[in-house]
Amino acid sequence: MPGICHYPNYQQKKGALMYITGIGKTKFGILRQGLPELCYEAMQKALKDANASIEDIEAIFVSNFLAGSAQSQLHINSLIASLLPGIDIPIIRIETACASSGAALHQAIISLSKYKNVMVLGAEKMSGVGMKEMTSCIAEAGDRMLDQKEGVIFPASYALIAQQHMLRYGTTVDDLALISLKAHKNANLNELAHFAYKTVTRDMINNSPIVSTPLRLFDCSPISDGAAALIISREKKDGRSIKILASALRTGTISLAQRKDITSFPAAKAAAEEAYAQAGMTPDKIDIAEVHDCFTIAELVAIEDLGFCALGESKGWIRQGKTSLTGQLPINTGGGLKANGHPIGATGASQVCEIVTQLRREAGARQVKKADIGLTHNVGGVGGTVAVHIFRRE
Amino acid sequence: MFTMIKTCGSCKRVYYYDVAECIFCDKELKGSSSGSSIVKGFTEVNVPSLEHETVPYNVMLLQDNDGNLSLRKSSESHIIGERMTGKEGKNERPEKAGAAGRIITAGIIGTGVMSEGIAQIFLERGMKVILVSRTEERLKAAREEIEDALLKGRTIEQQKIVIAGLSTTTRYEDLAAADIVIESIIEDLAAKRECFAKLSEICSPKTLIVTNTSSLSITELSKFVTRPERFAGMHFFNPVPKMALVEVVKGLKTAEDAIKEIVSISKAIGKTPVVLNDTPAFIVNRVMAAYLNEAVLLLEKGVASKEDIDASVRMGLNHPLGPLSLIDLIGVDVFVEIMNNLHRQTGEEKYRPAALAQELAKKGKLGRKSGEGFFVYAK
Repeated sequence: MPGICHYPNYQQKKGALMYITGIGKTKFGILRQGLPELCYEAMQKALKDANASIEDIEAIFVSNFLAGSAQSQLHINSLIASLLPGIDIPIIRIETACASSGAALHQAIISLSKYKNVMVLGAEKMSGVGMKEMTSCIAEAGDRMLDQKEGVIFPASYALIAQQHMLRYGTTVDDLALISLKAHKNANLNELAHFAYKTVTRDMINNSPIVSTPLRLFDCSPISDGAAALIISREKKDGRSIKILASALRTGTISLAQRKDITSFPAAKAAAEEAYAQAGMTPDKIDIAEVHDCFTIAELVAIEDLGFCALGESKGWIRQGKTSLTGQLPINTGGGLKANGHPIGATGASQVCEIVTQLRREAGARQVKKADIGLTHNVGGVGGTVAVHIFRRE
Repeated sequence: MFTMIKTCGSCKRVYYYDVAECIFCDKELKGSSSGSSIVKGFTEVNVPSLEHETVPYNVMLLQDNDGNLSLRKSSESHIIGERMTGKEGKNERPEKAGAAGRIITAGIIGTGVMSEGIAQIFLERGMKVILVSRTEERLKAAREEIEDALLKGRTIEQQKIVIAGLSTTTRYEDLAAADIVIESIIEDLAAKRECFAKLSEICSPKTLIVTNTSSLSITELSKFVTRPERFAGMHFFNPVPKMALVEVVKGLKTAEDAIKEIVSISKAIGKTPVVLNDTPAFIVNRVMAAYLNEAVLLLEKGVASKEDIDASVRMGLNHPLGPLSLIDLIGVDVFVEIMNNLHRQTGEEKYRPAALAQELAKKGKLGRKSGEGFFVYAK
């Protein structure tokens, strides 16, 4: 009975409802603002979107991955308090690598047994740090001995996953290129995306430098700054409120070396199964999904782990265009981590912003026609943490 | 770099950390002893990071007989399905590291900071090291230094596994079977002659004999060995574990095969080798000497203050230390000696040590070690 043991008592009461009542997202990209300014902008936008006051918020779950290593800034929760003079509500920082804001949302939902309105705030400032330093900072999400000491930076881990996926299922580098192309095409329709301005062609992808064989530059998400905030409420506010049907968080080993099989993430499968059980539905009921494509191969693994298709069959989905804006199950309509950007601590919350925007029918040029039920899939490391959430338009 | 795999005898759960009992069964965990593993996958990484600055390098995905995976950095490329043979049954380690495709044994002569650093990097890459010195006391001290250095970033258990490759001896005879012997003793021709004569007598004809000299001619030194074709320079930089470069220096009689082997060994221990023909001071020190001397000449001419000359290089070239401060660190007398050697060996005027440096050396202003050189240092 996974839906019960992982959920607050509150959920068990019949008719208990939870909603996303406000979303706010800064531009993603190489930005002028520092971490506090990014946080402030996202919070302000979310409050305006919810037509709420900061004084309505009873707790904040702030997620950030590497301000300690890259910005020499820890004690982030108190930093957020400083942005809100006179406010002394509980604020807690959640860090689960790239799944930080997915995990923060999970915690926020659990906290609704106590509070009426809480905020999730994800933020990351990644630019302004040397590439070598930043690569090492991100590598801190891997095991110190098993990964970091052996030079297993994140592109290397996902490159090994890609190679195994190719050997086992016949996936090709062309399939990866299709994912990158789709991501950039969607981002061109999303003015807040990191690569909103950039037209990417097949040639650009094929001629881009090799990062870690077989992955090229265009297989990797960028270094982005950005923040995203969500307001989570016990009560429905208005027609724009989006219902939360499921929230599942699972963990797995930190290193690929500690698994027997690396072409699928057990924690992702478990989180997905639990989320579907909570929502009382099967994967085919999902209309749109934002999945964690930190590398193109990760989108293929996600499609399989989430049960949209059988293991090894995701390549067919990509080739047939099933995940494009007009496909059977549009995936990463906002551009994904690849092209919307991946300010690590903000990514999970940003995925929710995209799903909520789509479910509200407010996505403009990239609006998906049938968007009633949406799913987010947020991964930390190589599947060491996975948060899956399901939302419904009411 | 060493994967610790412990298995619960009861539930078969696998642990990758130095823990004693299974948290599920309370049973004692046993170290896994799978003999060998195969290459299941690999990737060539082109992105440098702080701890892995030299690219490209390879990461291998290995699988042992029990299906356990491990990840291993390697300077060489591999093919899927290639079998790696383990060592001592404790850790599966690629035996492909050495020049001949196996774990190599390196003799290191000398117990200075350089020798310790060289020993450390060989050990860290799974090689065997025989450290040679005249006295047991110095060997003991050197072992302690190496142990301390190897403890950084490792648990005591892991350090023990790495240090197991080290043996120390006062007898040259123990080097008979070494694949390579690295001489790293004082820069004294007579001492080196004695060392190479002994090595020629004891070592197998296959043993590579190399010298870590920075100032003596490889071709000249090769006269002291009986097999000059297996003799070359292998010049490391201080601190050895941090500096990526190795100058591989060809003497007149050094064979191409020997150079290839030394290049391969250099890569296997994580260094970037450059190959050059024997020339006084090789590349790095040659360029450095001219540059340092130029800074002293500028000071002599009154072009700028010593502080401003150092500040210019620090901030304009992003060097951590200005040239005059660097001479003080090296020792003004050592610097003058290096220049005199270069001047003598090349006959070129540009290497004549600047008068100001000679004058300081004469006055006993030798730099940091004497409390004053170009600058004054608080005692």
